[in-house]
Amino acid sequence: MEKTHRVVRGPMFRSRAFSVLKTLVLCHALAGCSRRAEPIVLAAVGAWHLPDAIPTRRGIELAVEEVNSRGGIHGRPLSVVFWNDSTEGVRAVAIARELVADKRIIGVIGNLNSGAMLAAAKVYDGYLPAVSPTAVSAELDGISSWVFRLMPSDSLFTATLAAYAGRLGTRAGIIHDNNSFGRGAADVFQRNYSGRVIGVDPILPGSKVVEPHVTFFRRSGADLLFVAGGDVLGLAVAEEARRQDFRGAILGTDTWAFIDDLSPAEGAYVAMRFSINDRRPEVAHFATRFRERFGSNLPENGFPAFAYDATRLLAAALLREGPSRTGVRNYLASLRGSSSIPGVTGPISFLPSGGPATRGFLMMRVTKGALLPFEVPRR
Amino acid sequence: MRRNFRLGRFNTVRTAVQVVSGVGFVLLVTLTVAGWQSQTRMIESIKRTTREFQDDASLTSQFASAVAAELRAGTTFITRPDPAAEAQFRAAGRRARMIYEKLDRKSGRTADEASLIAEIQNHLGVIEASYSTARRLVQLDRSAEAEAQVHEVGAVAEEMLVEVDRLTSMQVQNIGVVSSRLQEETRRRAWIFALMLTIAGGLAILVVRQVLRTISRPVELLASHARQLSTGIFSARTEAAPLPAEFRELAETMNHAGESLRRLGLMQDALHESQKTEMVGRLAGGIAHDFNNLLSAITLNVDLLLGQLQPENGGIEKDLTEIKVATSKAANLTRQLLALSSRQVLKPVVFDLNSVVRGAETILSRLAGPGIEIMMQLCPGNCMVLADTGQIEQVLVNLVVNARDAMEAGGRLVIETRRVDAPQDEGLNPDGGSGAQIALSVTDTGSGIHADVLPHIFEPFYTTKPAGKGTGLGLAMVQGIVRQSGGQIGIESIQGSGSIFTITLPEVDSPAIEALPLPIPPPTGAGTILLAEDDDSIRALVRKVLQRNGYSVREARNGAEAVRIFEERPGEIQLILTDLMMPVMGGRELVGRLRPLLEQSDAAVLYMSGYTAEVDVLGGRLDGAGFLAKPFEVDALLHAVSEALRGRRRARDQILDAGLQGNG
Repeated sequence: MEKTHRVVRGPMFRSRAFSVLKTLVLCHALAGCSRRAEPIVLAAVGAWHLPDAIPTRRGIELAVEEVNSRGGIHGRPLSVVFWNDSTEGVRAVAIARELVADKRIIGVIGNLNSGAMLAAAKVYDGYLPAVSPTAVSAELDGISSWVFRLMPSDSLFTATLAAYAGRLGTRAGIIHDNNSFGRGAADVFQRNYSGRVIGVDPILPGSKVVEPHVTFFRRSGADLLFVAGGDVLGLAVAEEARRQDFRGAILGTDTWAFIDDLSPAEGAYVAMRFSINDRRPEVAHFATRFRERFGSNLPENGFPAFAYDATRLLAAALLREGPSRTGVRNYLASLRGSSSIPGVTGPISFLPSGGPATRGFLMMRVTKGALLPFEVPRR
Repeated sequence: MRRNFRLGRFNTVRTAVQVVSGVGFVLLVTLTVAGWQSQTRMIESIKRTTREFQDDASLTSQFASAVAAELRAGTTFITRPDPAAEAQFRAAGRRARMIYEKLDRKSGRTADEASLIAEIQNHLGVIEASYSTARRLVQLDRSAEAEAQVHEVGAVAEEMLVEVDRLTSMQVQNIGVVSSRLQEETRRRAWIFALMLTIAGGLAILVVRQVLRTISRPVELLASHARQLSTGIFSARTEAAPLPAEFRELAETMNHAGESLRRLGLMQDALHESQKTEMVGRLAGGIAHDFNNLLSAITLNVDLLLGQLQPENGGIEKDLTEIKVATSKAANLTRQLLALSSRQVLKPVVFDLNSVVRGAETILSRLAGPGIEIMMQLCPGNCMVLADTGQIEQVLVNLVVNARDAMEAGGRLVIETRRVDAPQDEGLNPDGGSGAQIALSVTDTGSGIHADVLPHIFEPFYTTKPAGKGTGLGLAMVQGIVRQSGGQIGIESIQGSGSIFTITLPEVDSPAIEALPLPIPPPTGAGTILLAEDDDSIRALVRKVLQRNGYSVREARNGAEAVRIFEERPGEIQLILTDLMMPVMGGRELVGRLRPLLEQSDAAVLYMSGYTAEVDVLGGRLDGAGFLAKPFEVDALLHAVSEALRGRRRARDQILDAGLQGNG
């Protein structure tokens, strides 16, 4: 556990002094802009120095470009300032305080990481609306009426998956990484599965010793195996099941999206919150624009789409309510049920807890080594 | 150096004490509250830290127990693969993990502790996974593999238990560290509190010292002032301005009291001196009348005898002359006595003091002698004063003689006249005049006068000269003459350096009055003189002298007889020669009675007396006419009578005016 405050080593903000300098430069830039039209400023908070965050940032930039190309917010350009929280709670809190104090900031895109969002949410509460594109911790539910999430939490995701698994069989075995994610997912699945859970077997994370467990569940007549873990465990179970010619279904989660070669898991079911292979036209359109603008494909996890939607959502709130923190927050809170607005990742509306109200998942299946949509269940 | 005893902006002791008390109270309360809060926070911190450590130690203990329980349940779980054993194993695992979560969430943990807990967590995960695998192997009848797995678990479990022990040890150690830290913090706070108390105490001492200084120093000053007043040093003063208000008022009151006492002392001294002079004057005046009558009889008889002597009686003439000289000395002594009590008869005229000084230079040089250099420093122009020139010459002579006696080995004597402002009122001269004054200083370079002697030098019969060399009347007489002339006399003297006698007389703004030249005494006279004299021998002698010189004399033994005689023959009398002091009716009353008749006739009046008390009522001055002092010689009598008759109209008018004033 990291207990000390570390200097941010991100590409943009390497120290507090640099941060101050950045602020001064920003002020100067904003002052320059004010001669034309003073921009409306949003903050984007995440671990922007990490390579995985680059596509996410591009999703935000793409949304800002589109908004400004259509005249901005009532003639004022939309501007986003990126802050690096390094996924650290302490740093996230410090940044949140600065943002709350800076009255030019009307809303926050972030924080990306669940832990950082948990820490910063209490600072935002009552002062600054925040929409996190990718935070998924169930602990964020109800943490603040000013904090909103676009991705469903792990528990909600797993519960939905367990309900769907009931259609695939009545006897299930659970193999999970013996870490907090794996144990949590196993527990949620066990509670929400309509059939019988034959056994719940923890596996040491990183271990590929799954043969006794697959053998046991096969001999026990399991209809399906739910694998709650990372790509290593997923591949190990898929390979062992194939080796033993296991007839039942194998269910994985969206962590499998990071597996490059899924051919050993041919036929496995993988539940995902979003997929670039979603057949909806807005997804394809977004993927095309992204590729044209940045020269690269969307990653399988679809994080840029969530970041894009979060930015567009805040821009819509600004268009509706003007540059008012309270106005933006009230607009976001008003998005309930049928009053959702469309997004690349699907219709956007929120539960009273701040979580997404209209999120489900996509059931994909490994077909010829690739994840292809199998069925799109919606709640 | 002027010292300011005020306390900052507070100029009263009351305000200073109130403010200091207030500040002290606030400081004390602040310190007490701060100390109390600090101690309370410290106690709360100790309690909290103790509680946290207790909780942490309890959690660690629970964690160790839970891990042990999980291991036991794991063994059962493997060997007895039924659902109940599995549920028990799962429950033990959840419990251990729940406690682990609590341990993990605890803040303020050291890096070693956190690392150790993470390691235990990892081992717990390994054990759980391995047990799970072992159980499945047992269920698959693969005992050998299961045993190997369990063996592996055992090694990890042992390692984990060691880690739990280490965690416990760390906490014990941390408790010691934190305890030491708390003790250090307690000591630090105690030092800070002690330091604050010391600073506050120091400040309090400084402030109290300043306040005491504000109070005590003025008290010391005023006490010293009071002591000086009690010992008769009435000139002592306390500077009031720098003192606090209460003491300032007290000091001003004491200064005023001292000044009043000083003036009272001066007035007492003056009164005492006046009483002494009055006493001597009364004594002198008392005997002067009869004594001068006797001397007059002797003098007149001697003159008559000398007038009758034949040339062959040379021896008798010499004896009679010696009698006359002795009589003259006796008369001079009487005059001195009268002079020191300011009861002499003066004949003031306006004259230039410089002229008198210059005129006396030869005599003074002779008096001073060859070893003494006399220097004159006279003010420019005329220094006009109103006085008796003869008396002023006498004063000058006396002062020069006095200076000469002080310069036995020779020296320098400076006689100076100058204009000065009127002397300030010091209580000695309540009637002292104002305006310009003429000062006459006689400065010598003699032995000076000891400070103890100075207060007595003007006392009659006080002398430091050897017996027979001084009467002790010289300076007393000088003072008497000066005072009678409306002036003052002062002395400055430094023993071993010399003395300065300074006489001041009011300057007058009128021309000098030339003294009337004395007429050559006529061998005979004419006219009728009414002689009023109670002393039979004097009356007979005067009548004899006047008749021998051609005058007709009507005698009266007192004023009443003279009135009756004059009223009987108002046109016959040309001169009334009357003694001032007589039984039944004195000379002054006689003139008063005859005033209406005197206004009609041209008779003159000539007073005679051996005692000037009667003259005093006329202002002590007769303006050079109408008075004949006893004892007198035959020539003096004849001159006076002749002068009175020559200017009888003028003299009569003056006397009439004087009589009017005296009776008015």
